[in-house]
Amino acid sequence: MYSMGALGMQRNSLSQSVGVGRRGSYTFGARARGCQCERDARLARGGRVLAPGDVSPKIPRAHEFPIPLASTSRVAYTYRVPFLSSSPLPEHRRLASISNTAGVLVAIVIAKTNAIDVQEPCSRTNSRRSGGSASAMFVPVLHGLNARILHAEVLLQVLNFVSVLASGLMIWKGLGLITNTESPIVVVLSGSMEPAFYRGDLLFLTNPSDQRYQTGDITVYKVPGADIPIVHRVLETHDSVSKKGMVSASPLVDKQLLLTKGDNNPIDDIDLYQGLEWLERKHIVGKVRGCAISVLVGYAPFVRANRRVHRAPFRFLPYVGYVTIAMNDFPQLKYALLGGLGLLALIQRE
Amino acid sequence: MVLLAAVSLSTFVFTADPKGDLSVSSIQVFPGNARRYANKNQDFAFVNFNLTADLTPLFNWNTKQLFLYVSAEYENKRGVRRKEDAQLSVAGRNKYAFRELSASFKNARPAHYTLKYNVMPYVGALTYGEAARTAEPVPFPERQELS
Repeated sequence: MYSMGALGMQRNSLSQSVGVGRRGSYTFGARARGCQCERDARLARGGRVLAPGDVSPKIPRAHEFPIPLASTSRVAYTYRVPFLSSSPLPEHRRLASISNTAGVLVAIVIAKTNAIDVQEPCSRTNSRRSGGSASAMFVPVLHGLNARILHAEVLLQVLNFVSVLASGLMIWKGLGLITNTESPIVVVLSGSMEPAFYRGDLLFLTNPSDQRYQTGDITVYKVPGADIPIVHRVLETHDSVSKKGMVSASPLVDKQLLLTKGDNNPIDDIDLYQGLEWLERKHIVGKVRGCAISVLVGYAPFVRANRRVHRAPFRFLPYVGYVTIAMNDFPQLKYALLGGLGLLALIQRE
Repeated sequence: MVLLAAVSLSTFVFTADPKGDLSVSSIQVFPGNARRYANKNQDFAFVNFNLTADLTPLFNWNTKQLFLYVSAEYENKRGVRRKEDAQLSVAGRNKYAFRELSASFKNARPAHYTLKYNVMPYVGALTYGEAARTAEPVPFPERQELS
């Protein structure tokens, strides 16, 4: 929870440093619309929406205020009509490896959507600029009609949501590039590596392309034809030797064959290889470098095994691990979660 | 989150390098059948070894498990091999089948046996190390027929 608070504090300081102009920082939207209260009063009197004396919403001059579009951008934009006709924000067509990333994204999205603020209408002393200024860009084009302003706010919410998702995905993919694996953080799903790794533990992977794997390394591999990757320890390695009697350091030059076994399994993984005799480097997703456990809280109700009842330690799974496991066990939960998130982001106003 | 980062950084602070002794008392090589293909002949080596090591310096508050394994490294004519036997017997034999890729230990050069460990913390990075090594390479004997 405190991470969300940290984001919130960040946002405030950013908006304060960005805001310029008189009265602290007012929004162009507020000025152009002349505050909805006044306009409502005018409408009630039977008048037009725009009184003759009103400042009609014109294209703002660049020097009047900077309009940060993204929360991290501090560059002053000049308003251009072609904004709406230009291509929209690039939407990522799919969220890759959703079962692995969704847990991380959930945390990021919820933290950020709680921290992002939307402009408050009718407030001259509005000190939050980012939401108001962005929606102000729509107003000059959609001036005059409340319905269109409503659409603009909805559009803004969608935009924020999508940009947060996109940044989360970018962070994830960047991490994958650095570590040279397709999923740098994985969650343990089975108990075949106990007592080292339990269900719900997070593992951090790298895949150094210039080093050979050694016996004892804990690897995550994916057999072609299998759905999920497996975390097991390397039992045997076989390296081919060049004619000069040397083994090249990079496994890409000379092949390396591996055999794995889970610590808690009685036999090695031959049966899991689906026909392969040995694993090769191309099957391996990464090598486990570090781990983070789920916290032991108490004791669960009894677990029956082989007619003997014995206690099993109850694992209070961390947020990310639990979400990923639940989504793996119940795939419908994935879609329900995403749908709920989308709804939440759209409904949320303040 | 910050706490987790701090704990994981602490794994780098602990540096311990314990040493011990490892000696191989006897090796026997027997023929057998490969596990998957019952018709394929395979040589199996059974290695009896003695080892003593004091690994208490490796245990700290962040250590969840210490995984010990004896590893055999050797070459045969075609390539470098490395195998691993698990764990934790002071004087014992290899627990898992020590088999050779080319199904025969005939061409295998003498092997080095090493005791390696893997420290697995609760939170943080895994560390590996080598605790003992046979002083000289140990040759493989001839295959003994099962009587």
